[in-house]
Amino acid sequence: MAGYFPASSRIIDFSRTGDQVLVFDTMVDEPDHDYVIDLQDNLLKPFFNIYHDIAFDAGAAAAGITVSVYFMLDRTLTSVRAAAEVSRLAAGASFIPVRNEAIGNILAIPEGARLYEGIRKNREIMLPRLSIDALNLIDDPQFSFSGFVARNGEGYPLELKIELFQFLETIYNQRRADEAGGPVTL
Amino acid sequence: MKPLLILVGADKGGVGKTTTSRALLDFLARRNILARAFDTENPRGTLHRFYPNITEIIDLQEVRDQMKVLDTMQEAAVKVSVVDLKAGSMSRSLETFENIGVLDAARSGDFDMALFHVVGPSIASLDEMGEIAQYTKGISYIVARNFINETNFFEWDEKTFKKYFAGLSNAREIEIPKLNEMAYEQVDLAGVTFSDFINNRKPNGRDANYSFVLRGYVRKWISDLEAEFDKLDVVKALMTPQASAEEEASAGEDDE
Repeated sequence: MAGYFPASSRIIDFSRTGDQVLVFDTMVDEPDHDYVIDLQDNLLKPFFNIYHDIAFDAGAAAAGITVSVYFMLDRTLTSVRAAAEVSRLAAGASFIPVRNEAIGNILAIPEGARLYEGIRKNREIMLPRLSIDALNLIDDPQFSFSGFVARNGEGYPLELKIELFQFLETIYNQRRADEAGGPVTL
Repeated sequence: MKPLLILVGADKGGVGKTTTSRALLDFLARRNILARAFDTENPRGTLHRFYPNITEIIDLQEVRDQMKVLDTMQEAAVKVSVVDLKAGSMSRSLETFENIGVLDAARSGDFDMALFHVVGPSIASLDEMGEIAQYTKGISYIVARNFINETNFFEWDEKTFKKYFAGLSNAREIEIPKLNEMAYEQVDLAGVTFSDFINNRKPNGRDANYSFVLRGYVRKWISDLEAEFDKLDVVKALMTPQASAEEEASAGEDDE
């Protein structure tokens, strides 16, 4: 994240209380910004345990902040169980499980599908599989989706341009109609 | 309501005794139970710093100060008295109370009495339990295991603790959970009660600007600690004075 957005990102050590204060207090004190927290997988549970313990849901609501949790699922039962736990701990937040077509489908496993069904979720997102060329392109620190869209894909090979627009459109169209932004056509 | 005398003590310093007293006073205040406090950390008065309006600094070895606590219990409008015993003075204070008949008066039901014995991470803390056993018969004896600091460095394990604990037929056990160090430090620096810190209030009642995260940590800690206090018969008796006092008395008889 910091590599792609150096000006607006900060690397923090969430095991340190001072950094926890930096994250949560900043959000509550300055609620007029949007904040994205990219969580390392091993910090997922500690983060949401603290989130739950300090009643961040209530604090966020009082400050007028809407919290959305995008949970990246892989194809393991551990992952879907963790999703269920996080959904429970962040009860006041929107919970959106995100599956990635490229890494397999947890729903193909009956137990996984059963567990997934039981998770409280506001909606779900499926990320379409991208080609190697497209993945290489978006991995470039100079690349940004907003820049790509703003320049209408100018300067990119046509096949990649079409693939990336379809990728974005597929994701955006998984929003509900009543959500901010709603479904879009690019 | 029968007066209640609560002693909070430990024969070692730094085990979280005053923190327990503070948490107890906070707990009572949130339950709308009026309490008065006596701080025997003479002349410094750590407890007094946090509860200046209800706390008096005393020297429990002075007869005049013993009278302040004991002779006023029946008449005082505030029926709950919390005495924070100076570090290292618990055994001596209990001995004094035994000698002047305070413990016997409590045993015979003139007033209710509870001893919160805060034990820390050392074996010496456990030894204290045996040393004071002679004084705790017939009163509510609560062993408060303090996890607030040095949680990972207990010299004793559960088996050892249970062995010591098993020798005390009338003891009840609670745990003082761990509180995030930075949160604890900030409350200390602010010089406010835990409740005021949670509610973002300065000592003078004005709005403060304490950290949201640290307030959250303290709120969670207080909530966990209240669940521990709520388990105690002596606390239940405060909530429903009549019924629970009888319960407590019959439990005492059973213990004997």
